[in-house]
Amino acid sequence: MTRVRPGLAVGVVVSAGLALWPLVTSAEQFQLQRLEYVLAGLMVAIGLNIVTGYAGQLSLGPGAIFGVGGYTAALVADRLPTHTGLVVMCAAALVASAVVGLVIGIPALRVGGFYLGMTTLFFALLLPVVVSNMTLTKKERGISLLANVDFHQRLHGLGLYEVSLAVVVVLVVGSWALLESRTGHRFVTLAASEELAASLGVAGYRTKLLAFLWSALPAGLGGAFYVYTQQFISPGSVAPTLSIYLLAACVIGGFGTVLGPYVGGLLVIGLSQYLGRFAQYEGVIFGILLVLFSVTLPEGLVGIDVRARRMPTPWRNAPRLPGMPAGREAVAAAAVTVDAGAADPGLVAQLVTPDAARLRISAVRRAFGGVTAVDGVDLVVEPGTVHGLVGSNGSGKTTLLNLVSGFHVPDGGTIALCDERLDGQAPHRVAAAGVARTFQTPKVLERATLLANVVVGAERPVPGGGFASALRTPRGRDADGEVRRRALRCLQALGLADRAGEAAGTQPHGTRRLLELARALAVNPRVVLLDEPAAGLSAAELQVLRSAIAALAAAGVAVLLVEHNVPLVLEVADHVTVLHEGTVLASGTPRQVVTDRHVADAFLGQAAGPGGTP
Amino acid sequence: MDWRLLVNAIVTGLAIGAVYGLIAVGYTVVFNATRVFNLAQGDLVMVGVLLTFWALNVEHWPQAVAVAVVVVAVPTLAFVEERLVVRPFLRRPGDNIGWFISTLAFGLVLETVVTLLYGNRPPVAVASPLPKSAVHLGPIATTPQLLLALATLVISTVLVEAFYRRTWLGQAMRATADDREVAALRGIEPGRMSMLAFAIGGLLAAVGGYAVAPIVYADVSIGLTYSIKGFIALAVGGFGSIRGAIVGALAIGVAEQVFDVYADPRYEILAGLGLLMVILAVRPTGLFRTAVAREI
Repeated sequence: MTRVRPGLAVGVVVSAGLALWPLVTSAEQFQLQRLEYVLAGLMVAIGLNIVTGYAGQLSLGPGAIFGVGGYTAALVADRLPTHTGLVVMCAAALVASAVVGLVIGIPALRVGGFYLGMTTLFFALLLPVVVSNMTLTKKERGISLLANVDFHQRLHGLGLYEVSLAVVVVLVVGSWALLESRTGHRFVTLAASEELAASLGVAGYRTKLLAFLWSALPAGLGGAFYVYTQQFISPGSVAPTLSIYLLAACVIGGFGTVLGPYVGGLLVIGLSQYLGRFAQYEGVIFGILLVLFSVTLPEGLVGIDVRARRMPTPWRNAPRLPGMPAGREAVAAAAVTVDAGAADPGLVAQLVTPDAARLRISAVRRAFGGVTAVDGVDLVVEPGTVHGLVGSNGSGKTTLLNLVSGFHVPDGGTIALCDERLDGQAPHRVAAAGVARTFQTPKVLERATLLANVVVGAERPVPGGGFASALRTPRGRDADGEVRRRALRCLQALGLADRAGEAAGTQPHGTRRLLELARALAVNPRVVLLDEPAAGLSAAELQVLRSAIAALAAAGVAVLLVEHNVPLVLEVADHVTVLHEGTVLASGTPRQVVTDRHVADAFLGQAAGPGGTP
Repeated sequence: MDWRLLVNAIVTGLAIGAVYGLIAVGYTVVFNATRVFNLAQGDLVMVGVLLTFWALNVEHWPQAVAVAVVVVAVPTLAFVEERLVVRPFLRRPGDNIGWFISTLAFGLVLETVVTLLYGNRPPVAVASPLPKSAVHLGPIATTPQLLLALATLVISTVLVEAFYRRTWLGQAMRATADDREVAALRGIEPGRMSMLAFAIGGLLAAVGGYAVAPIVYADVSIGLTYSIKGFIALAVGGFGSIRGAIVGALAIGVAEQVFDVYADPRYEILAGLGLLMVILAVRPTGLFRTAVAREI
């Protein structure tokens, strides 16, 4: 029943080929050294893939961290030649790269967008200038360990080559484990949408910094291996073009795939070693390849496989984002009998077990420029009830949701959950306090399966650490299994379990809406904010939505429902508030609101009498 | 401490900053119309410098012909860039990494091609139409060429601002940046706007390249450095604001020159780093950035 995965096969064949090649061809020392240079570059590329491919944070200067690691290793070896071997050099380089990672990451990630990319590129540009002027780094000449008579390569020849290759393989496997872990899921969610990640309690800044650090360490390691194998480092070794070639390696191989940097790195860095007299055209060759690939094949060479699998061919496994649990495998692992298709709202009571909490919004105000979108709104959502929020377009409904979930900061007033103040808190903190939400335009991980989309939410209530999950410790496996079971049951509650293995990107609109609701269930929320959940749903889907909302309230959740479908609101809501131009026009039971004079005036004009539906 | 040293450093810094300012304004024009940060902008300036060198020092053409060559060739390159490496990504919503990498690659290709054409020679000075003798303004000594750079920046900025404010095309460009789809519904062709933005960006690079060629020498490797300095100018000033870009650019120029005087000119590049780190620590969105509401 275990199918050989094409990626695994490619990885094993490439690694075995690299391991056996020098044995078969009885390669000379200088040939080994060339390949060792390629391997050192691969380490950097694997790191680059973690921050840019997985977490979606553009880093353009991997060569800078590689260079700092390399120079540190070289300095340690040159100063303490008799005490220093490969291990000490690697350790020194790792420490140095972590420090540089923090020095760059802490300020550059504050702004987001492409600041990390530009700042890293700047470091790649200034490192060669600085080291070529410093006496410590021996200026233009660079540091040669060959010239140091006291330094001996204890590990050399074929042994050194095989060890370097082993490190690369360990890094590839490690980056795969990272991607498949809780930490990796957070990275991928962040890359898809920062708002979505925050609404699931992922701390954006900290997660980006973590991703950048995880990318810096392999880069530093690559620097140490470069110096140890080449016995030399100079300003030329860390030229800014190196960073661009490493970027080309990842783009050509496929950013975000596990094997992309491995395969792409072998091609690009390998090619750069064997260009011979064409070396002067290197920039043109790689520049054009880079543009060509990013225009025509954004997923890279390894992504071709993903692309092929996206075709709706029934005999293939469902497409999935690397790192997210595959549909059928996960379903089997979860060992839950799936009643295909039928929604089971009864499950909600088992899945959602909140501590009752009242959401209180008091005198909240928010203006954008000259427009006051929300002007002194008071509203209370009791636990175990549904509070409907209606009003015409532009009346401030969505702004109010964004104020509660922390995407906007109120100009005045307070928002509190029990006694905990939510106003002014970052969105991920609001989410962590137990507030889940859906979006007006559903935000889903397009390339991941439905199950994977819900797994990201289900990881919140199930305790477990990123390390345990990545290292597959017994406890980590148990937690991950629990997460998958929970995610699957959330899908089941909304009747999506039979499609758990399909890609979210191929699903119709209604399914995406219900998927968002399943994800909101998964976090075990105390409050759920629904932003027009009924828009575009079929009659059958509406029925599922209706029973799910009722089940949520029955389980003790406070539900705030923003909706244009007034009959639905009147049916499911215990309390209704009507917003008009940023203020509360009416508030009460559905019955009271329907008969309210002001509501009728505002929505139907003076002519309509009491009793009309708004 | 000699105060005249400081004043001269500041004046020279303003003139050097003018070069960065032209790059930063070029960035802003393109960014405002397309939300693309053209990483090849510095390399376009480099091409402008090298073309000036070729026309004047190699072919010995008159100044007017040199200007014409640069002003036609560089915007054409920018135009080609827009079609080949930027347009495909504008059509792909949600992709905010692709164009970054492709404009960087375009810059790399430009640099490699120019390096091959220029050959393995050290950078040389480009002939200037202006006298070499220093101009004395009281205690301050400067050269006509530096003043020309500053004047070029001022005139270009005034023209760009007027274009934005006064012309229909300028307004259309800003509308496109604001919302591509809505602009398209209003009859504005977004593709044409981004082409126009790149052409203006190229024109600014051309003018800048010609004006600074005698100061910066025919150095093929400066493109990426310029691109980064232009970015720091925007980071300091705040993205999207032309005035912010200029203030930021002049600040880097001055910081570098002051650094040269009081620290060590060999590490001049660290002045920009220091400025960037300070602004990120104190006011991460830049000096002139206005708050923008997010769509969720």
